[in-house]
Amino acid sequence: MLPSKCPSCNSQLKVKLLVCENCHTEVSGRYNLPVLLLLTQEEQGFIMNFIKCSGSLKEMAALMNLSYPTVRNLLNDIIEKIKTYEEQI
Amino acid sequence: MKNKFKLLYNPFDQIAGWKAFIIGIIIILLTVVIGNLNCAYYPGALDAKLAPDVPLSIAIQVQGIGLVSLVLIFYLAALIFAKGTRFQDILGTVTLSRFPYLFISLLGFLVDEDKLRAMNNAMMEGRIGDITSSVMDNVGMIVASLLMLPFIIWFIALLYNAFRVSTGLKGAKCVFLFIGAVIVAEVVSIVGISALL
Repeated sequence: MLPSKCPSCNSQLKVKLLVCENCHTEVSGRYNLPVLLLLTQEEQGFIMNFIKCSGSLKEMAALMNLSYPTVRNLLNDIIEKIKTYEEQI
Repeated sequence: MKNKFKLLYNPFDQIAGWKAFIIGIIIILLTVVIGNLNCAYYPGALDAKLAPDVPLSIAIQVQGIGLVSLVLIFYLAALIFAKGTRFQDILGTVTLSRFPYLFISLLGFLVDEDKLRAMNNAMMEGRIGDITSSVMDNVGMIVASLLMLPFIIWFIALLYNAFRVSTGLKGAKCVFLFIGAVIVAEVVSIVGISALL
């Protein structure tokens, strides 16, 4: 699991170095983590399942064994979080 | 164990919509029928009273008016202040939230119906002394009335969770809208029941 917050001061981490395992090229810089990676593991799992269910909240509810409005509320919470992160970037 | 306890005060994370409505309406019908056998009566959105000799048809209608007023007012609040609320979620969760009233119906077995009838007659005829002695004489009624309170509180907690989960509202906005909607629903139900009776 890729960490997104500093374990020391809880600030947002940035990507400094990317490596190609094939030709050993290193790309160094300071890159923001994609917004999706700033979400928690559970939230990322939710989004993956949502896509696999073709965006059907009904199917998500059956998969997660939760009620439809509960799943809808979880989705709304993730949407609000993504909007907040997008504003910060 | 924790999940089973959570089902008692917020089953709506697991169940809502038409499934909740079907289960809830069966419980409500049972509540009214059992209540009708032993003086429990539900004339309003929140009300639970002890009253003898209420015809079953009237008991069903007033319960229906109470339920419909809650559902319609909650849905109206959701349409104005929330987004994406489905009518069947409000209907199902509000209906199912009334299940503590089934226990109130069972409390009616503690009440002496003849003494309750005598007390009601004394009230209607204005015989204050007889009212007081009737109340003191009917210990079962006093006990049932006191025991009703935790079930009504439980119902209100469930109703709040029904509103919160169905609408997706949070925090102070959810609390104040809930209080406002409940008050309006109670007034609407009283007006509706007065028109019926």
